[in-house]
Amino acid sequence: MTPATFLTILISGLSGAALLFLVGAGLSLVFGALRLINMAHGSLYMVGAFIAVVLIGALTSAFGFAAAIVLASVAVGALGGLIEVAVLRRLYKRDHLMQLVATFALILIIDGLVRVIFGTNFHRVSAPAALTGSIGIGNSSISVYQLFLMAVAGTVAGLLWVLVFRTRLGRSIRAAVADPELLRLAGVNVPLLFTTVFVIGALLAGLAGAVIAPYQTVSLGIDVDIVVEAFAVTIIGGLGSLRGAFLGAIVVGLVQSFGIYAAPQYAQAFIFGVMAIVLIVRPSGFFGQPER
Amino acid sequence: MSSALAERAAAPLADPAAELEVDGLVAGYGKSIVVAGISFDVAGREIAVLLGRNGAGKTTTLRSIAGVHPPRAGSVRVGGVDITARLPYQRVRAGMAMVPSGARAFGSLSVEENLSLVSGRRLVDGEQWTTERVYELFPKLRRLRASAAGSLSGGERQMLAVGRALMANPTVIMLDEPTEGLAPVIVQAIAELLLTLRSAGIAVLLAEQNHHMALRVADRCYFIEKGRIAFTGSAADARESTLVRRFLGV
Amino acid sequence: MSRTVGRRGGAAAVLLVALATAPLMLNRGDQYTAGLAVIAILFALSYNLLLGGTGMVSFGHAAFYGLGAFTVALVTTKALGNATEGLILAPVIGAVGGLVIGALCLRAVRLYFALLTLAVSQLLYVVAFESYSLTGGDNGIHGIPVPDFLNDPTTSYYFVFAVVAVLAAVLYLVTRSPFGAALAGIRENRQRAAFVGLSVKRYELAAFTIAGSLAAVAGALYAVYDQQAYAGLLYWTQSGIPVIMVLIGGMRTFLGPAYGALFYTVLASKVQNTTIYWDLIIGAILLAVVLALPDGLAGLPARVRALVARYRSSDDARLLIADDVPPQPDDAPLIQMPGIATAGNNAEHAATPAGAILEAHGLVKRFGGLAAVDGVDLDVVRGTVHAVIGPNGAGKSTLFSLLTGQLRPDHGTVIFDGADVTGAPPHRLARRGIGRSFQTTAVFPGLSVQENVRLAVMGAHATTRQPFGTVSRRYQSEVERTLELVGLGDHARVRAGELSHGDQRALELAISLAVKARLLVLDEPTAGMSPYETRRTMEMLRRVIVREGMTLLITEHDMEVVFGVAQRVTVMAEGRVIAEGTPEDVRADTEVVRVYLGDESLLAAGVSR
Repeated sequence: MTPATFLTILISGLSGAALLFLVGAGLSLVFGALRLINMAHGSLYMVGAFIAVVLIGALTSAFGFAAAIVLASVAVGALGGLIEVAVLRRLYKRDHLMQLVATFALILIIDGLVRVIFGTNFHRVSAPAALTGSIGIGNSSISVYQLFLMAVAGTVAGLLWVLVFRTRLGRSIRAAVADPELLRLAGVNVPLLFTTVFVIGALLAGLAGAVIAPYQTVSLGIDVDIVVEAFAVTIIGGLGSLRGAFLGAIVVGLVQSFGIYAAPQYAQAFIFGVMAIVLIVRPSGFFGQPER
Repeated sequence: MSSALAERAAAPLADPAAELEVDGLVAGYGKSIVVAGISFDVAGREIAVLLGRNGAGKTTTLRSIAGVHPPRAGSVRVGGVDITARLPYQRVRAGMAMVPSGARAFGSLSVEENLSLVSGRRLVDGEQWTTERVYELFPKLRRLRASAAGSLSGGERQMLAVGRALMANPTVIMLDEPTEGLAPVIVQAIAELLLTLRSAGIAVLLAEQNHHMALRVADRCYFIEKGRIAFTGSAADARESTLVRRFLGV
Repeated sequence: MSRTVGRRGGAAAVLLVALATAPLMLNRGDQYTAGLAVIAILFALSYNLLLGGTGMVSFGHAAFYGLGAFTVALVTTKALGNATEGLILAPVIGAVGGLVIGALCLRAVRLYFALLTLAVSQLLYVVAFESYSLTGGDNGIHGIPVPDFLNDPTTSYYFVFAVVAVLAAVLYLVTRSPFGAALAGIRENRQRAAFVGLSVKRYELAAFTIAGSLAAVAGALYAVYDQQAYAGLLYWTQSGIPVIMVLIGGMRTFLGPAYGALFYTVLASKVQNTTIYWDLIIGAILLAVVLALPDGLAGLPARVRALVARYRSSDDARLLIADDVPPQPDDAPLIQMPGIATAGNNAEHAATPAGAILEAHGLVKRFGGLAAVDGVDLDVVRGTVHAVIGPNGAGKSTLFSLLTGQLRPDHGTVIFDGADVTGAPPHRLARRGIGRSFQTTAVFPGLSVQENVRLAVMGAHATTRQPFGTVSRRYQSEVERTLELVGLGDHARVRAGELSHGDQRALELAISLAVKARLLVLDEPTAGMSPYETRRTMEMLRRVIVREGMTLLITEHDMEVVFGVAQRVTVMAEGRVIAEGTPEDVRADTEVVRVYLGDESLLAAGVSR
């Protein structure tokens, strides 16, 4: 393996990690604060992608691209708020296993809605010229969009850190992760907090879907593909931990890209193998909390 | 007990109007009934104590009043306002603060963050509780303000818990076994703290097994047994050893 | 009860007849769907052995279906044999797979178990998808050769129907057997099941293996019926299908999943290809079921009845307290306890360690840096009631957990009836004769009172290993006798979850008695009881001790109970024993008084507690 090849595989892995972080962070945040396991998280990602396709197609300027991404994310955030109030609130008292099944039902419902609204065709849309194109490295190349993805994820990670550790809302979120009942006794409107956290999680998922739209084919089925990978990321990193989502995303992203290089057929299998091993040996992952 | 404490304890009378009124409270877990019809009130500038053994129903009573445990029946009023149907955070904003047992804190947050996240009763005029005022009351916490609450000792966390309750500008404070597991020095400090709260005009409801401290500072006393109030009276009356022995002893 | 059985039996007969006559009444297309529905019935029934039968939520059941399908596909296309041989091999492969995957996945619990089944099955999917040469990759294997007689659609249908009917009947008998009752116990209360002597993990693994084997047969039948197999059968969302079928049809009855499978398959065939609304419809139904109908569509009538009942019972709470019966003028216990009244007798009892049924020496248990139990010795004399009391945090619950196998001591030994049982797990201690009841009531709520006791009796006789034979009248006389003893004779058929609190505690006691416990460890037996119930419980405990010669070790906060029932009392504080003796001795002990009532001087600074 030449240094150039190594670099391209590394970048490929890190850009994959970038996407996985965006999806996994929302999943982990929701589990940590709401203690809710949400299988439909990937479906929110998919909705973001579909909306982005429409908006990117409509708003053609470079500024329009950014606007499309933002609007798509916000729309999915709003959808998340709706879902939380209408459905998820009834699930907080149920055990995790029933949450799995109920949110699985949500996957079907969201799939159905997407099918009805957007149709069943594959969609393609392209990024603005500035972000397309590639940079040569040795005999291979990386695409500019990969760097864009990493930049987006890095920025989001930074913003999330500021949100969680430097704002009032973040303080309440951390408190909810530690002891939600005590938070109620401290006068904080916990039901509203839960909705807010879920909206943030949905926004992150929508953002992930929106930024990936120009890079990969957007179709029905990308939701169920991404959600199992997101589960692998958050399990390995630790459910409920943002640091864990970050680390888990990097692990999975790199295993995938180096795995594809080394043994292209079974790279994906490695991921699930690692996930299984973590679940057996140390279910709370690297940074997660033990199940309450 | 120090004479200073005794003096303070003997001080002013309660405001006549009851700040906290509990009527006919019934609560339990699954099929069991743990609180079987409890009624009492606490006035402003008064310290009332619920005394009873483990399993008598003190904690369930307090938790039901605070709104984190659903009662089967009964009503709760704060300052004359019926809050029975309200969510916990709404009760806090109505002026009720609770310090649960176990010196609980948000371990991963700093002392300062623990205090400032409280969202309590809004006062239009006059004296809000601020982190500064809390630090004046608990100087030790000021030194620890940037430390994670999880790294504090039991006594320090209890102080923090009371500080948190104060940040809500309460008219009623309920404390569930605040002296449990704490050293005598801290127990003393808590006794004085309760008297300070009383002189600040707050109605204080205490649930305790440690009757020595409780009966020295309390004005009124309720003995609880098997989910019912078995005795009501002044703390002075309750200090007779037969009652204490009967309800708390072996 | 027999009316429901009759109703269900009738429904089953109708189903059977309908499926048997289907080909005669349907056109070719619908007949084909009917065949797929029958296969789905087997798949759903196999899944419900896990979900409804044992309480295990697996999200990887499709892996077995796929294994079965590929067994047939590979056997035939690699010319290793014909389809029938593949069909016979499939359950074997399924069983082996179930054993291996089950052993792996059962190392995790609850949520993590479910996620693990998801991970493992998705892993198998990737392997199947990528192994192009073996499985045809994303194309799959098509045109599986089947024996001539199966080329006719009608014969093909009847073949599938016959296989499924036979296997369903066998599965039904298994669920009705002692083994099936054991699985039901595990579902109702996993922790309690261990305490009636069931090695829970082994039963779960057995259930997983059987379920995997049957699912593999379903997959194999599919491969034969549709003559194809493809990797997509193992994709994780396929594992959601049996979940949907079981939840919609109802997991509480044997045939519920069958109705769900029928409903799903028929609906899918009608809707899936004609509209785009399929996902929306089935998703909405599933969500509605999870949120509002935990027993599926089959449970709808019961739910409606419950809602109506709830509107009528607003004065419930008051009634419950008013239930208190005023004390009888003569409050003397009906049964005299040996040795309680006179101090002299007690001295004799106490002095003979040879009469000790349980001895604990130097028990230590630390959590982090804190010693919850710090060098405790305890001797419990046979045939007596021994109470352990102490303030909060004294270590009583930890001590009891050490004595009943839930925790292993860091140091020290536990000797039961002369044998060293230090560190033995709960189910083994249960078999040796130590029973435990908990503060949070531990009965099997979905089973009837007599089924609760019967399960315990079977556990004690190790009958639960039998996967055959009906359970309904087994050990009936023993069950009835035990129920009489605790005063539940009239409630034999009531669902345990519907009993009053006091009756549930009585049932718990009955379960422990049935397990032939010689030492009963009771955690606050009268917690949450009204004074009336407390007195009834005390009476029952006395009756049990005297008639059954049992030994009782209890912890209590209600001193009336301690003084009314216990012959010896051990007082603990901060992990150590600070006093031991008769109740009167202990009451007079100054150290005990100090610990409970505190010390005036403690209020001053500097004195250690």
